[in-house]
Amino acid sequence: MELHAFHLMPYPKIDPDIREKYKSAWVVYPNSEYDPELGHQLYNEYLDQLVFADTIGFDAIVVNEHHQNAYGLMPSPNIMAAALISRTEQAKIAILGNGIALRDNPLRVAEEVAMLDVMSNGRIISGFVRGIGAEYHSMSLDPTRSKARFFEAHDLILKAWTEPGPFEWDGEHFHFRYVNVWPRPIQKPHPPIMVPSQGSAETLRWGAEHRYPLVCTFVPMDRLKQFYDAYRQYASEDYGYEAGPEQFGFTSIIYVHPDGEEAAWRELQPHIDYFRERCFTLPLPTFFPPGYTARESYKTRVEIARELAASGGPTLTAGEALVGSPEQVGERLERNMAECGAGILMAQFQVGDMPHDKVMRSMELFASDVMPYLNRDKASV
Amino acid sequence: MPEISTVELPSQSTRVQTGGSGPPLLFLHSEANTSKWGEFHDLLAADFSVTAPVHPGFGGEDTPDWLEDISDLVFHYVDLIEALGLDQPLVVGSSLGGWIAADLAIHRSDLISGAVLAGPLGLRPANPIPDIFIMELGDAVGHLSNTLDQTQVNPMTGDAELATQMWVELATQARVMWERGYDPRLTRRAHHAHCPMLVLAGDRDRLLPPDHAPRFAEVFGATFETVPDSGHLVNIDAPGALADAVRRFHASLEV
Repeated sequence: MELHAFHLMPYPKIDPDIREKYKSAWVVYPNSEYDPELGHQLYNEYLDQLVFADTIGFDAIVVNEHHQNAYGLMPSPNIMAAALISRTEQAKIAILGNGIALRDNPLRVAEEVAMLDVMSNGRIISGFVRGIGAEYHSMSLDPTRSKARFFEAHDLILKAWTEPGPFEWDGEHFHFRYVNVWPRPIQKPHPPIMVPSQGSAETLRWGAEHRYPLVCTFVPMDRLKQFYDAYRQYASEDYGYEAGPEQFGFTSIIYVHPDGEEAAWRELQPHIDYFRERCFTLPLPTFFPPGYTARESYKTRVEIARELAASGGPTLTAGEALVGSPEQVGERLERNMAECGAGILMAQFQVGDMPHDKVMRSMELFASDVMPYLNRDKASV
Repeated sequence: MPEISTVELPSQSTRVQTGGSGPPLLFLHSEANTSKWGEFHDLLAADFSVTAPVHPGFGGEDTPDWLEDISDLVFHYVDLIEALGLDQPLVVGSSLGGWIAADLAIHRSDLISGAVLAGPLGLRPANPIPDIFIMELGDAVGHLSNTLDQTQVNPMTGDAELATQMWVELATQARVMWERGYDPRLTRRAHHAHCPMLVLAGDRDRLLPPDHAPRFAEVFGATFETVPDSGHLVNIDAPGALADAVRRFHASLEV
């Protein structure tokens, strides 16, 4: 099992009346609500938490890209990766990802990730994402072209990393007379690639084709198993291999408390509520703008939105909640991984407006009383 | 009731609704699930031979890959006029259809006798206008029309099929106007439209400000009329008034 420390870097002072006053924590939530002085403190604390994950032996630390929102304050994940390289020793730095379909110039991603890979001596995992629907509002990019741009940007970046330049790229969406990226990545043939997905069939098939590990965020266990099964099926039936657990990961909120489940939930619940009710204030047309997915996927999203409306918010853990005593968290973690056959756990310790000291206490307990007992040698559990 | 047929065009096969008799009239429809033959078409069919195609990517179709910008739709309709042998049709367009009609007049006014544009899109607005792409579907309907049902297209509580159809129609429209909701070249090309034109706008338009359609008319040297008690989609909110205006405009062409 691989343990990755996942962070969203949320803004912890979102207006309590955001739903009524602004309707969204994305795209239109005014940036006058952002306090840069607080932001300075937050970046330091959040980075400290990820650096701590490196010192306690996490296999990777994870940053990601979102724009014009209070849910996650990393519009440029590469800047965060750069900051982490000089402060960490062992952990891989997973950028989940660069929103390559969002760039007018995907070669900028090829350049920056190659720089990071060389600077870190090969510690970069390069995630590629389309970006959620909200990013297409934020960047005035036509969401109907998002998938095609994503696939072409991926092909361009891979070729720029693996084939000698200069060469010309004359695609449907991108045109470059000279592709000749300096520096080249240090990992051969290129930094490992991961694909976060919300489960669209096209992306699952594409991930299986390229053998890219599939990572799902905030997906409940039954859907997670559906996505993994679809990926495994594409792998074996269409691409002739058996996808192993090292190809599957998911995020899970973790909160460890010495006094057990009840005490853990009492401390965690307000931050979960904050996350659901404020950070995740995301109207359906912002999340899924016209044409962002195929017709059938939109219908599925509407079903999910109906379920979420009925259940009060997104699922924050797949399977049993990793909230409780060290023993409870450790046992459930291994059971969850086994149930869906995943080999990568993306642990999210900081949730919503959870303050730094609380995050650190939970992480310290996880390091001392959970991690030593996890079977981390086996790829599978 | 209209006859429904399919025409093979170089771009794609296209569904066409036809009805009525009289001089040829090509109607280019508006957005929000309004492609189907309705009251406005019936009123026109009393005096005209009406041809009402369904835009590619509307009325239940998926967004076509070949559609990149407004000019693709313009040349799609050039092909349609030629394929059907429409002889100097009067072109009537509402909202998105009005934009296509205006651009058709710019590129091929030799093919048409005149153009009636109701609440046409396409001109750069003086100030930012509401963004129908970020709205709940029902709210977008409310910005387009003061008579259409807003609850039907609510994906959470309404008719999932109709909601999905409108969502896909908006996706098709996004191809044309997501990144820029207008064509900055329209103003400097307007003088190429060598045919009589009439521009109309509802006096309760919630999408475009009151000075927008008059400015559109001025740019094209067209006549301008206001339609009372109508929102942005005049063909939906005031079909009788719009049909009257079309008849009067057509009569003026024959003088």
